Formats: sequence, C-alpha cells, structure tokens
Amino acid sequence: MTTANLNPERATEAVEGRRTFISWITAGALVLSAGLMGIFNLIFLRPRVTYGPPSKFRVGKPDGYSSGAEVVFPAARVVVRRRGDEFAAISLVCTHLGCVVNPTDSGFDCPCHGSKYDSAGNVVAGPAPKRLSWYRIAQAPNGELEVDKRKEVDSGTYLEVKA
Amino acid sequence: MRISFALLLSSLALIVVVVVVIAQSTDEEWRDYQLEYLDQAMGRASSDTVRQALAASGLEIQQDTLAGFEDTTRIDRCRTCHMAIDDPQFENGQHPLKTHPKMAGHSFSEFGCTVCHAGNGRGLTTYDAHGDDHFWPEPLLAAPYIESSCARCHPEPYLDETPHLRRGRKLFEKYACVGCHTIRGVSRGKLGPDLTDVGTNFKIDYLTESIVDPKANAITSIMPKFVMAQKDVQALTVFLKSRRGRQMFEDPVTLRIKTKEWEQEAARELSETPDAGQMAFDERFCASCHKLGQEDGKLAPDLSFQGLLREKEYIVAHLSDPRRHTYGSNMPTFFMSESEKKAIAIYLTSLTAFDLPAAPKEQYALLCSRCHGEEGAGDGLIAENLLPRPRQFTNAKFFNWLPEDRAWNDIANGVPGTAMPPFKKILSESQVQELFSWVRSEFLKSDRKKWKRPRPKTGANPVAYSPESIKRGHDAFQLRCYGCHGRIGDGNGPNAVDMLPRPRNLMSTAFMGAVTDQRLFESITYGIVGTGMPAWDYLPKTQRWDLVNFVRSLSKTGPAAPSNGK
Repeated sequence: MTTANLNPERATEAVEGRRTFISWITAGALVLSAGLMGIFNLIFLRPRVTYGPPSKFRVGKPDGYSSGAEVVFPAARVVVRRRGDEFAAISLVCTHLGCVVNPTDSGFDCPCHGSKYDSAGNVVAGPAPKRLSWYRIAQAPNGELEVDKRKEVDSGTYLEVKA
Repeated sequence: MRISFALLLSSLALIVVVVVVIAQSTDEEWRDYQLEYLDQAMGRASSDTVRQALAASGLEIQQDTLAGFEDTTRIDRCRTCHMAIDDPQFENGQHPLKTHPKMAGHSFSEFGCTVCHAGNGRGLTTYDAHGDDHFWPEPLLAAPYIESSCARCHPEPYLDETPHLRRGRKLFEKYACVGCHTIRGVSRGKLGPDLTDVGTNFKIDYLTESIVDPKANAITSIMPKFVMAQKDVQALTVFLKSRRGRQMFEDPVTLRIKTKEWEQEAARELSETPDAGQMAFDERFCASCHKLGQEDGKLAPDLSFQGLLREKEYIVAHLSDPRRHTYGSNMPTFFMSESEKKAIAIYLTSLTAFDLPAAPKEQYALLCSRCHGEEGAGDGLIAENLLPRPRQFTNAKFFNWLPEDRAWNDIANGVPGTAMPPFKKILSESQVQELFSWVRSEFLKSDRKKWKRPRPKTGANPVAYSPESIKRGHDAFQLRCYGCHGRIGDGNGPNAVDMLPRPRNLMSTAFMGAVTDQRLFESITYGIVGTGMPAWDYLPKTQRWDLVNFVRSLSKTGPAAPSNGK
C-alpha cells in the first residue's frame, strides 16, 4: 500500500484488479440512479389528474333505465343504453371532426358533415373514418352505474346487471 | 485510489438517496386508505358485478370538478381518501372509510365536499386537506359549525335542520349585537366592525374568542363582555361563521338593488305612548345590557326608576347619539325614528316607583353599588363599561381632599357628561349628606387632613379668550399634557391606558360646561390629589390661564362661566 502511494506506476496486479472492480461498481451505481431518476421523471410527465370534466362518472341506478332506453348525458357526450339486463355506454363524439352526434331511430347522425352510424356505432355513411367508441361501464358499490371514458371496450360489449 | 473510493461511496449514496426519494414520493397516505377500502369493500360488496368492478379498479386520485359555486372552478379530491362516502355498506365504518349521512338533493359529484365542510379540497394529505395549516383560511368545520355553510345557499328563514344557526340569528338580536355591528341586510350598527364578511375572514376559534373576551385581540375594544351561556356563544359563532359576504344565491346585481333598498328603508314610526315605548324597549332588547325590574343584562345602568333620575329630553338626546351625549359611553346609536326615541323616553320616565330604604347602607346597595362596587372600590358590575370610571371610594387621598359640598352637589345634581345621574328626586339634601358621610366612614379608613396652607382664592380669568391665547395654550398642552390627556384632549394619551382614575376627557362639552374656570385653573396649579394629575404650579401663571382657554376651546364651551350642566 505504501509503495503504491509513493509511486502509483509500480502498483501491483491486485491493486489493478481492485481498481477495475471499484470503477465498474461506481459506473453501475451511477447508471442505475440515472435510470431510476429517468423513469421516475417520465412518470411525472404524465399528469395524475386534470381539471377537465371527470372521465369517470356515475350515471344513476340500473332501475332508472327502462328496457331498451337510451339516455343521453350531454355534458359527458355519452349515451347509456339498456338492453334487457345489459348496459353499455357509447360515445357521442363524431370521429370525423368531433361534433356531437344525435341518436336517431336507426343509430346516430352527425349534424355537421352528415356522417351516419348504426345503432352499434359503426360507420354507415359520410366522412367519419372510425366507429363510435364504446366505454367501459361498471357497477359502483352503491349500485349506481359508472362510466369510465378512459377505458374503451370492443363494440357490442355489454355489462350484465342482475336485479 | 482514495479519490475512486470517494467516488464509489458517493455514487452508492446517490442510489440510496434516489431510492429514498422515490419511495417517499410514492408512499402517500391515500394509497393506504384506498387499499384498505378495496380490501374491505370486496368483502362487503352486494353483488358479483360490483366485485368485478372493484377488482378492476386501481389506485388513483378521485377528483370532483365543481362549477358554479364561485368564479373559479372548485376542485375537491376528498374522495381520494374518503372512498366510502357513497357506499352504503360502510355505515359503521371507521373514518375515513365511513358512509356519509344521506343529504337529499346534494350529490357529491355536483356539490363536492368543501362547499359545506370547508378545508382544502386539493389537499392529498390529512394535514393539507383538513386545512390544519395555520395559514389556510378555512379549516374543516366540525359540528355544529358546519351549519354555517347551509346559510350560504339557503336564505332566511334558516332550515329546521340548522337549529344552532337559527338560534344564533335570534341571539344576534337578543344580545343587541345589531346595535353596534352592521351585517348587510340584517343590522346597521356603526360602532363596531362590519360583520358582513366575518365568516370568510376569521376562523371559529377567533370568532368564539372575540365574543367571550372582546379585549383578547384588540386591547382597546369597547365591546362589553356579555354574560352568555356556553351554548349561546356557540350558536352566535355559528351565525357569525355563516356571514361570508355575498351568499351563493345572490347575484351581484340583485344584491346591489336589494342593498340599496335596504339602506334607504326608513325607521319605523311608533305612537308616543308608554305602551309603545315598552314594546320598543322589549323588542330592542335594552335589557340585554341595562337592568329593568327583574331583567338584568349586567352591563349598563339600572333603568328601573329612570323617571326619578332623568328627563325625557335627556333620554331622547342620549338615544340619538349616546357617545356625543355622554363622551366615553359605549352604548351604540340604534336605528330609530324620532317617535320611537320619544316613546322609549316616555316609557322610561313613567317608571317612578321606588321605595327608598331608611338605612344609608341599603341606599348605597340599591343606588350606588352597581357602578361603585359593593366595597366602594369603583369596580361595580358595570364599571368596566363606563367612562369615566366610577370613583373609587377607597381612594383616601382623593376623598380626603374633595370638598364635601362638591361631593354633595355631585350626588344631588349628578356629574354632567358621565353616567352619574342626579339623585335629588330620590334623596333629600340631608339624606345626601348622610349617605356621603356613611360612604366616608365605611370605605375611607383615614380622617380628613387639615390643610396647612389654605389655597388662595382664584380670581377671574385675566387672560382674554382669544385665538392667540388658545394657540399658546395649545403649544403648552402638546408639551406638557398630551401624555395622559392625548393630543386632542380626549383623555386617551399614550400613558392613559393603565391609569386609574383615567385622565379626564377634556372634549366632553357636557362635563366641561359644568366646571368653572377657577376649578380648571386650580386643578392645573395644584394637581388633583389621589389621581395622576400633578401640580403645574411652576408654570407661569399666564400660561396656566392659556391652558384653561385652550381646554375651553377643546370642549367648545367657549369663554363661558359654567352652565351648571344644562
């Protein structure tokens, strides 16, 4: 040790090995912490809540819907449909340029550029490129139905609620 | 070698720091509550559909965005921890996982929580969200203070569900708070602070403290300490907390119109009869401060036999502006028409029933002790609220100096501009003398001293009452006298606060009108024994007379001889 201190040129093989080991650990630790910080910063980039209208909202108890009913929630731009004991929530935002579509007997009509959708939300006519979104609907512990606009589901997915 | 060791250690330390920081910022209180809730809710869920939904839900911040309550959108994240508020399975749960009591017509997504409960809706820890921070203006409202929030939307008459609020509203009149304080649409007192916004600006503790001990936060407050039961204090606090400026059901324009109409409302007219006066006396809750018969507010003079003490004109003048009429009074000016004042004066002067006991001791107890105290120490029940304070009969120096005829005169004719009434209709001249000698023998333990050098008689004022003389007097006053009597001579100088007897208010026209120039000159020259007033006999004689002239100009009594209290 003393010789190495006096003249580093004459360091032994053992010292050389230890030095490599230390530099590897050091580099590893630095990379690891940089990685952790990076990942965590990426997580921070995504807001946990936003100040817009809530994406998850309650739409009332199943009893409030008669069979075959379609109830529009204008603020949320969603229609809730009951079919037998099954429920579904369908978006009312036209996939073309974002107008609010009107439910009709045959499905949905967009007042802006004439897109037409069938009752499942599939495009029938007009410039719309995609079908209307279906959102996940679930039952909250107090019995109310809850629509979550962040979770899209396949068209034709109904939630069965037993009375 | 050493340097690479140091680098190794610091990079390891960095890892530890990073891990700790990440752990700390992800270990949030609400995550534990949500895990606990999901766990318990699974067991209590009513159906499989609910169980599926619970299983699919992750931990996340629950937020209600509420528009339409104020100019800005309210953000309430309370449900992040209080997840069970609308879950009927948690009726018997522990906070924060407990079902909220049913509130018909108030859905959580529409009204949120902080509109009623206050607190900080954006907070995500108990400390932040409940507004425990000293500088958060609206901490969580506990029962019954939460009733104050109902009044933000539900106008008068207040809801049956808010008994404290209803009671507080009534008490605000019962304790005659309306006399001093303005609340828009409720009362128009001018003496105390406006309370229209008081609920926004102050927390519960402060409001309660200000009712219980008005001097706690403002040493110069003249608000009396009301004799109030604990539950009355609580109800009044609820009512005051509900005063948060513009209520949510009022829009600025209709509020302005309504306020204008209210401001221009005329005071009610009454017929000038004793009956109407008695009704007004009861409706104004005069007995919340004054005593009349069995009712006693324990704060202000006894009016039970007012007809023997005061004239009708005196009472009308006093009701019109008590503080101008009796400087230092803390009685407010009530919003009354002339006819109502006259009716009250007629009623009060009709009270002449009084049985005078024979013994001076009992006379003292009935007539004097309310102000001067049972032990004659000037600390009677209502002494706190009187200015000047009642004389202390135990002040031997003063009473051994005070010429007897002046004392007799003060008892018989009262002291103008103070609360001391004339007793000449109750006590005969000999009874006055008897009473005073009893007071002397009872409370003064020492005998009157003989003056070694009798004071020379003071002649008429040799200095003319002129602007020059007043100017010279003013200059001398600001040098010598302001410390106690104050710059404007109102007796509120910087030294006055803990002086007893308090320095005389030299602006009191009524009092000064009854004092002769000679008495003023002698008081300046020789001082007043037993008080803080020193002798100024080393000032040039003309300067003392200049001071007399200046003091006359302060009280606007002019170069006059005394008006004998008229």
